[in-house]
Amino acid sequence: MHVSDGFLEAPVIAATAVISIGILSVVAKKTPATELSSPMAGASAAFVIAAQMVNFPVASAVSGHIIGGVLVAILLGWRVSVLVMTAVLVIQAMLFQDGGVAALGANILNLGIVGPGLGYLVFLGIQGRAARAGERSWTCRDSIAAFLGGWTASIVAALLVAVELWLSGQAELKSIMLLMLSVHALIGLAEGGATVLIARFFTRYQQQCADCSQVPRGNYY
Amino acid sequence: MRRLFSSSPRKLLLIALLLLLVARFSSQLPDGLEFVMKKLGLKQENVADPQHND
Repeated sequence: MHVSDGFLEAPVIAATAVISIGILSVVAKKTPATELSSPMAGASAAFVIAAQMVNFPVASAVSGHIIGGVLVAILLGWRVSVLVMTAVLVIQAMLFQDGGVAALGANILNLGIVGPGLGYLVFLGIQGRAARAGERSWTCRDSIAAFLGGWTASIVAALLVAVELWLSGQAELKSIMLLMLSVHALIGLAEGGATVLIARFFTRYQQQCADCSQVPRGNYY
Repeated sequence: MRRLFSSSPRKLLLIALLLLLVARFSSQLPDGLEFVMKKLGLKQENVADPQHND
């Protein structure tokens, strides 16, 4: 869902870049260096780059790939996920021509900040306070929360892309919204499924380690 | 070998490595945004695109 160069107008490029830089500077300032220097942050970035390279067919003429932002937020928290996703999007734009360099601000806003951010809020809202406090293990409710969080991230990012293209005068809002929503509602199912599978696997592993007193909870080393 | 994949980052990197292998067999169909752009006539079909857009 990376927007390439040539589709967004200069005011949209400028506005999204300013918003993204503003949010990134606040997030970077508030994130402790220890959180970013954990091996899990680097491994998550490598995982997201690899996962976004896998395109799977979702209909006869469409394919999709997962975003991975909500998954990283569940594993490491929203602030770290924003910085991890930004690093991923910069690498993709600079090295793989996946998304335009001028559209980087829009891509970071869509795929790194707002989409995963709202998806993570949905996850936290459904998951409940007891789970957030670490008072219970991964349950069916957590799986539903992670699935809906992943799906929401995909939908929100698609809506943002639609609005940005509309603001750039590329298409009518209604037609682009309908098309983006219908396609990404399907892709979001895979996003939700992948988020559940991987978040469940790593959360359970973390809890097992904590139970065996091998690794303290929250310590990925 | 067991020690090599004993921690979460190592497990995640192993999954990433497997995904890179799977990516070779990735679908060649246009992705969601590309499909929508072609439907709306913003991007022409069957034209070589120097930028991989997804």
